[in-house]
Amino acid sequence: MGFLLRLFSKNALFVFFIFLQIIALILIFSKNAMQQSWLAGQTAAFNSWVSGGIDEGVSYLKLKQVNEDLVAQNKSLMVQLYGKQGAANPVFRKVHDTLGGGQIYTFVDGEIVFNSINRRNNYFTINRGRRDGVYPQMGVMAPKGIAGIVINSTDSYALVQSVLSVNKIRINAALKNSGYFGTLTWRGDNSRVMHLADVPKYVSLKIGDTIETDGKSAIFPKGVMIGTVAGYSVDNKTGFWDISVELSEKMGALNKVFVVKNLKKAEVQKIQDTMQAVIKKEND
Amino acid sequence: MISRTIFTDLLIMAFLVALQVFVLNRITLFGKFTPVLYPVFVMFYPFFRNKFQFLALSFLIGLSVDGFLGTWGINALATTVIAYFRTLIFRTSTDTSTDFFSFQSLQWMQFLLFLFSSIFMHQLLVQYIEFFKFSRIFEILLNVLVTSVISFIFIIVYALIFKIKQKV
Repeated sequence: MGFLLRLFSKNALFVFFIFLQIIALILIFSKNAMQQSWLAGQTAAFNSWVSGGIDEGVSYLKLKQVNEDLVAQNKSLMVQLYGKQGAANPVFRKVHDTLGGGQIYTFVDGEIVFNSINRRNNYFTINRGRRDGVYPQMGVMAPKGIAGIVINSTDSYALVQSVLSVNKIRINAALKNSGYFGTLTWRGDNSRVMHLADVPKYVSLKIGDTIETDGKSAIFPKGVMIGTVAGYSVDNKTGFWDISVELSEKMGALNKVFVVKNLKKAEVQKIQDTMQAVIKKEND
Repeated sequence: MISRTIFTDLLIMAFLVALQVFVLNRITLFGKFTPVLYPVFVMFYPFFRNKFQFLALSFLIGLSVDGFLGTWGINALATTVIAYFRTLIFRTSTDTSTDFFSFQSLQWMQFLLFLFSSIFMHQLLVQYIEFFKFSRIFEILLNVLVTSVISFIFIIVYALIFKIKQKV
């Protein structure tokens, strides 16, 4: 204490000077807008610096847990990636029917083992067969659009009629905008382009309009992308539009496909059979 | 000559503050430079008087100017600094190590150097604290230099009018 007093009395002028400066500084930082905002900024920066440091420390302590989580995730991803090479068990995907009528379609994923695009009638083979529930008359979709229809299947493989087939494939397709539907066929010249017929002339069209399946065939679900309108002209023979459709899926680069399985197909077939019976009766 | 007391000090301060605030701050030379005269109170304050009183009065005159200009504390801080370091500036500009301080014993050049150093230091503090932007450091330095030169001229005129060099 005595030391402090001596220090004060020896340097009293300096202490007084510092005292005055402190008053001035307090005034500067409490009354002037510029300095006030600077002080506020510095305080905020200091706060975030301190709390940032604390956060970093906490996250460092958590690293072990994070590491274990990552290893577990990696393991499951590796099981997914390498665990089912070849024809392992297929994954069934659920489609939620918005009408609430229960599930109508399931999908079996598969890979193409053989493909052709340059003949008049093209086929490809996939690595799913009867064992996976793949039977003839099922639709085959690729990630970006439709690909074909199953025509034959063995225990573990299935032969698929590609959409690029001149006489064998007729698909019900509709314009997404207007809802008018027609028949989609291939003419055997360009593997990217199919032709949509039977759309009435009064339907207005635009290049780039979307063509999708219309769901009336029980082979493909409604609303699966097929392609876009690439050009159109009036067919003089029929008086309907002749629309060129550019396929959104490149058939030559097809790899991963999904087989569409219609769970209600038998039921639909049954009711349509009664219609056939009625027609037959009328004709008789 | 009336001997200087705390009362005359206060009168001089009032005169200088009024001159600074009501006359000189309305002058803007070359568009933006304002002459600063009131630090002459600190520079020409008689040596060998109560140093605490000197510091307190310096603080007070700075604070008064601040009050009128709305720059609370900035001029007070700068004025107190040059008051505290006045003897140091004096010694530096005269290169003597004596403890005998008087303007009469000085050559004119040394006297002018003392004046310019003081006003420059004062303006340096005032303007850097006032603008408070490191990004404009050179702009502010130029401003300080020009303001110091202009103020320097006013201070010399003041010194000549009141015959400071002969008296103090």
